[in-house]
Amino acid sequence: MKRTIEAFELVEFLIQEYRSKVLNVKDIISDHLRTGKPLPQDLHRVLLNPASSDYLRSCIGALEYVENELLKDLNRMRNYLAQAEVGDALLIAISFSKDVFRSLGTVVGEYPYESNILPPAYDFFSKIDDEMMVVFPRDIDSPLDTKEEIDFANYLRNVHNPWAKYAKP
Amino acid sequence: MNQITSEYQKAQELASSEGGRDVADGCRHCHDGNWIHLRYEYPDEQAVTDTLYVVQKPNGGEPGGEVIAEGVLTVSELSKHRYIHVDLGDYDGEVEVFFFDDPTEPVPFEEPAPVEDERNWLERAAESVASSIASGAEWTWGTLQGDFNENMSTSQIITNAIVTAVPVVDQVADLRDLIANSKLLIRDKRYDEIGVWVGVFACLIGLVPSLGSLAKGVIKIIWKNVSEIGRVLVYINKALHRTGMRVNGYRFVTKLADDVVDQVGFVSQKFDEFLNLTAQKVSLLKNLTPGFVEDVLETIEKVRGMASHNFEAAAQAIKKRILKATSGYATRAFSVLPGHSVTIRRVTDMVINYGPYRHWQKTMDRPSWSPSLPEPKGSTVPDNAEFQAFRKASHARISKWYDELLSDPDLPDSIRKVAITSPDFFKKNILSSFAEKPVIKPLGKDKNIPSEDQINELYRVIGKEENQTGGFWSRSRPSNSEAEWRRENAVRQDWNAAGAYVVAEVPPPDHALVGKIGPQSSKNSPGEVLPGGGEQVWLPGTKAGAVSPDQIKEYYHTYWNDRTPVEPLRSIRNAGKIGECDL
Repeated sequence: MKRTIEAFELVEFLIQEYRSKVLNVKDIISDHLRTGKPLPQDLHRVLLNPASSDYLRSCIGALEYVENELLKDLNRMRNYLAQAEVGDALLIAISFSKDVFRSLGTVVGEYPYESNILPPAYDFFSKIDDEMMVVFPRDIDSPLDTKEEIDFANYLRNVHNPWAKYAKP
Repeated sequence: MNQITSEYQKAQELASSEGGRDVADGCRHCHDGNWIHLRYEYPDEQAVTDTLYVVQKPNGGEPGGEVIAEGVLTVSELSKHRYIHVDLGDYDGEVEVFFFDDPTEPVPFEEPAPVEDERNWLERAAESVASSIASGAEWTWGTLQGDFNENMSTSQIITNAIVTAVPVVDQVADLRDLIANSKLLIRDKRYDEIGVWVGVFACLIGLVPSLGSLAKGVIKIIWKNVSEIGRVLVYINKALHRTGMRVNGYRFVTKLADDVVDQVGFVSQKFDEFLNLTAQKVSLLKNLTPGFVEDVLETIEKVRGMASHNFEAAAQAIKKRILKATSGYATRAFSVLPGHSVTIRRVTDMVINYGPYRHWQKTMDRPSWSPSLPEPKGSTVPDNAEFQAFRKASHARISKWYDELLSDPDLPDSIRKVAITSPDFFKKNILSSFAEKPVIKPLGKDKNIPSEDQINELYRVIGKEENQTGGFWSRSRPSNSEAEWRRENAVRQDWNAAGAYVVAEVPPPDHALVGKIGPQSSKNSPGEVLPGGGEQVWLPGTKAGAVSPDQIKEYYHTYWNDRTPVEPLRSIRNAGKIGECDL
């Protein structure tokens, strides 16, 4: 179960990392709009229309939303794990690589790009998908709750639950 | 282009020498360059006359863009021509045209009045103020009120203003205005009223050579009633045209909004000079009424102390009112392609103008939209085991589709390239959005494909102009319900403000992936799913987009966008004909 716990800890870590990146980009754009400070080249290349203040203001709204949703998802996933609802926690964990990129579509567009300052979510979160497929292997026609999910839920419930402190009353 | 312009000029002169009417079957040379034909109609299709038109570079359907041309529409029932010819000069792109309404016939032009020098003009005003104070007599409004306060018609005010326009300074009316408003400040001590300062400001800005009395006249009318802007512009353009002055009303007025603020220093300086002269004249009367004169001198100093600040406030107030007039009383700007005619017809029923538009319109933005709003009612269904199983099996399913597509010899390079160079993107963002494995479809005309199955045109709903060239498209226009559109296309609230849709001509690209849309769980309505089930078309592309902006042919408001313009005008566009215009 150690690897499974580490897989969810990886999810927690990557969510926090990506939140920091999103917040950083949001602050850079806000500074740029307020003071005229130039945007970093890396970010300039990523944005769809960096010359438009109207567009940049809309980017701030999208980035705020994504940052907020990442935090909500982190809290929801921890709460599911605290209650040993592994299937629900897993659905959240494997959603980031597709959902976050799409939510940032108004900022970065809908096609592949490269960036260190705001890496594409499908790339940044891909380790989660790979790791979850290892600890929770699944075929197309597998049952909704696989044996691995049930075993991990029992472990969390009866042996050790690192997320117990996140249980909501 | 110079040659063309020169030929055009000759042709213009020829046409002009023949009374501006058509030369035989119309002036062919005049139609060599870039031009459009304009017509504005009542609901019964009779021409609206004496309306000002403005042609601008595209500005999202709103007045305020860079002006290319302006003038008065002079088509009438008696004209041989139906359209006004507007030359666009070197500009060969699409343009927009708008009108100012409520035209009336201008009064006949009058000859200019005599000129006097500026110092003398101020001195006369100062002397009048001083002597009236000395006499203690009530000012007779009929003679001293000034036209700022008189019940003059717009046509009279503007005609007078044009008569005295740049660089003429002295006018009896201007002088009376300055005296009248100064009296309100110095004698009646009404220095807390912004309107009084506006009056003084308008008189003194007439001393600026490039603005003259015309500026005063415009400020005067717009200050009283912003809805008069249409008449103001028609009078200016008509009368100035007849004087041979190359001043255009719309451009003059919009520039005046900035000029009034820029000229605060100049106006303050002139007012200071005027107060010095008035104080000198009043001081000479000290022996007659010493106590009264000292009180007046004290008031003059008080007015002087507040002048700069109040002129700044007056200038800002004038600017605000001018901008309100020019933006609030113009029609929407209608797009026209060079070489085309456009007829704008007033209609008795309000028309909802969803589109088509040639460019993104500012009304397509939805300021009321937020990514965190709940999904519209009716767009979602409760999450269930089937949806959850679909999401959990995503990795296995899309890995299988991915392998199958790559091993398909018919997979075109355009799609293969994206799939190979960005496999995570292709699997997690493209394939995972389909409910079933998508099929490869060629785009464009293909004789081997029945015409009804050919894909030459695609639709895409967007929230911002920047998203127009993205990857997900549809073969059909969006439905008229936002909830239905989001439900069938599984488009979450946070993904798309959905204020507009665009129509693109394809190819390129050469191929697309087409298939049934998969479900998406909602972030903003937890426990709910947008089920999908409609059809989507995914186009391979790069960071720059799937299609070029040139391929976007039309823009429409979505049916649920509550900012869609509703107006009593309808536009009819056609290819322009040589014989139909006034050249």
